[in-house]
This record gives sequence, C-alpha cells and structure tokens, in this order.
Amino acid sequence: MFDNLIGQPEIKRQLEFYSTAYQKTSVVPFLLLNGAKGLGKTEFLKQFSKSLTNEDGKPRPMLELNSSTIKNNQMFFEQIFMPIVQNNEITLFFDEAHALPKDLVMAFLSILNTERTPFKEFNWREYTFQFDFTKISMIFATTELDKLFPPLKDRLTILDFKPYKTDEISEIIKGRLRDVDFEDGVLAEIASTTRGNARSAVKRAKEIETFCETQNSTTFFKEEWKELRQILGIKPLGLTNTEVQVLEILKERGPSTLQTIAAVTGMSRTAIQRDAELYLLQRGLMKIDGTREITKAGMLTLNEITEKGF
Amino acid sequence: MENNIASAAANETLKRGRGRPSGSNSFEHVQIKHLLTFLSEEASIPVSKLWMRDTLGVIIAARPIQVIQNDNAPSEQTEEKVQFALNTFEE
Repeated sequence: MFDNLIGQPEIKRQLEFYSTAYQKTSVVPFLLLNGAKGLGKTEFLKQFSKSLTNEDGKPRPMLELNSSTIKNNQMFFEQIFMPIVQNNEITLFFDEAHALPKDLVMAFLSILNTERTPFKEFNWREYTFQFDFTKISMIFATTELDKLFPPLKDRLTILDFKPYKTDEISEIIKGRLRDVDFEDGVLAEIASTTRGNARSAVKRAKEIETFCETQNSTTFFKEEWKELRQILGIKPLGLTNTEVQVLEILKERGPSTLQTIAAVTGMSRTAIQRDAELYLLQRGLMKIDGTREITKAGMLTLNEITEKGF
Repeated sequence: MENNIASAAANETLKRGRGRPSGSNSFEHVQIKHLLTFLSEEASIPVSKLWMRDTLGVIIAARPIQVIQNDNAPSEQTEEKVQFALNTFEE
C-alpha cells in the first residue's frame, strides 16, 4: 500500500491494519494524524484512502479540508456536507483540525459518538443529517495536538508521525534523483540539513536537480554540495538565521533570559520559543537551566558557520 | 445653615463637567469656498436645525425615525468559502 512512501514504519503498520479491517467491517476508526509539518501526513492518508474500496469497486475519494476556513456549522453543512458528502462514499480529511470552530467541534462530539452502531443522525436547524460511517470515513490531522479540544481528542485514535532518520531522508533524496551519482557520505550530509522533514528533503532534491542541470552534470560530489550550500545559505543542521542569531547572542552575552533575547532580536518571547529555541534544544545546541545558555555543541556549530562562511 | 452652604457647594462641584458648558458648541466657522475645495456642489453636508432656523428662517418638522436596511452590507457568510481539494484517484 505504501511502497512508494519511505519511512514511518509504525504508521504504515497501523494504516495497513485499519485498511485490512475495513475490508471486513466497512468501517474506519476516527483517526487523528499527529505530527509536525512536512512529515507526510497528507501523503500517507491519500494512499490509505486509495486503499479503501467503495461499493462500485473504485478507490474512495478523499476530500481534503482546510479546517481554519470552516468558520461555523453552517459553512460545513451547506458548503461541504450537503453538496459533496451526503449520499456519497468518501473520506473526509480535516487538516489542521485544531483550527476547527467550536460549534463544529461540539457537533462532532455528538456525531462521533458511535459506540454501538456506525450510524448517527445529527439535527441541525430544520435538517436531519445521516452519518453512515460505512460510507464516510472521517480523519483529522494536526500539528498542534495540545490545541485540540480534549473531549474530541478522546474520540479519536491518535497516530504519531516521527521525524525521519538520516538514512530515510537520504533515500527520499536519492529516490527523486535516480540519474545523479552522489559521492559517498554526501547524501548523509545533505540529509542532516533537512531537519528530519520529508518535505524539506523533496525541496532539497529539487534544488540539487536544478544545480546539476545548470552545471550540465550528473555527479554531485562534496565540492558541488559545498558550492550549493554557499549559494543557498544552507547552514549546518539546516539552522535558520533566527536560530543562528539566538546562538550568537548566547555566545556573546553568556547566560541570558528569554526577555534579553527578545529585546535583542526584536522578536516576541513566544516567537523565539516556538521558532528558534525548540529546534536548538532538540539538537542540544542550547540548554535552559533558569537562564538560556549555549552548549559545547552549539559553540562548535557556531564556529563551523563562522569558519565556513555559511 | 452651614450644611445648606456645603450642600450647595457640593452640588455646584457636581454640576461642573456635566454636559455642554453654556455658550460652547462643537461647530466651527468655515468659509464655503474652503469647503468647496474638499466637496463638490452636489455634496450633502449636515447643518444644525438651529442654524437653519436662525439664518435661513426654515423650520424642519420632526420626522419619524426610519430604519434603513443596508443591502450592500456583507452578510456573515456571503464571501467566505471553505477551502478544500477533492482527490478522486482516478487514473
């Protein structure tokens, strides 16, 4: 089912299990795909929905909804449910489900309460809507699990996506560039700059493809990688300019408070925590022990950036 | 007696700042030629009923208040659309 997708072995096993179960029960549990952006939630779900066969023998279509654009029940029932979902066999995919409006979340609490039968009637204004979950699969995805209303979370089966490993990222890049010969070790170096993110890996592969085309070359050695890094400003570990700036502040000023970093960068405290510190902490480049402090690894990375002029 | 004076003084204090002081208003004198640099001759400008009465001798009878429905005001959902993509997987 997922032959063309790399990584996420646990997710593959789970989805394959639910797909096999569907052949017997005609029902898919209400799933919640949880994970950062670019980990392949939508791609995996597309393959999953494709594996569900409708009564006419065709793969089940998937309607991908941007949850933040649904402002209320009226928009959902009038623009989506009545014209597209009702009387059809379809997978409904609510992307960024933490942005669903409160009244629709409340409606879902009632609609998804299907412990006894896979059917549910929901009354809204003068209408009665039939939810037949042998025909409708409802799947949610979020990058911010903590923002999802806990009672809704309780009704969903959570599947956690994990960052990709270096060898998986290398495989993704190589898979996109079958005609390019890579020098030993280069793919691993490239992979280290994608932050374990499949979408970044695809983007990086595209950049390499463009580079090779402009050079009229089908080989990509360390020299070429160095040149491409210089051109695009690709930093070690795929650090962003903001993250480097935070490291520089910590190096120059020593242990600092979040307030100090906010004042120096001109960014809000939340933005620093979310957009810079999270990854620096994950990679062990800084630590928080009352105040913020750069680690040895952080110093080495910063020195590498300075020396190589990234 | 003293109580009355104190009470009167308190009232006096309280009265200050209530409403429009005598003789003051929120209008300003502007020459028509200056107004016309901003407005066309067709423009409708509000003037006070008192000014009309005292300057032009026109008295406007009170009218019942009309509630005007603004048909052009955007309703809650007219412009908003749910963003979606339909994948049919048909080869």
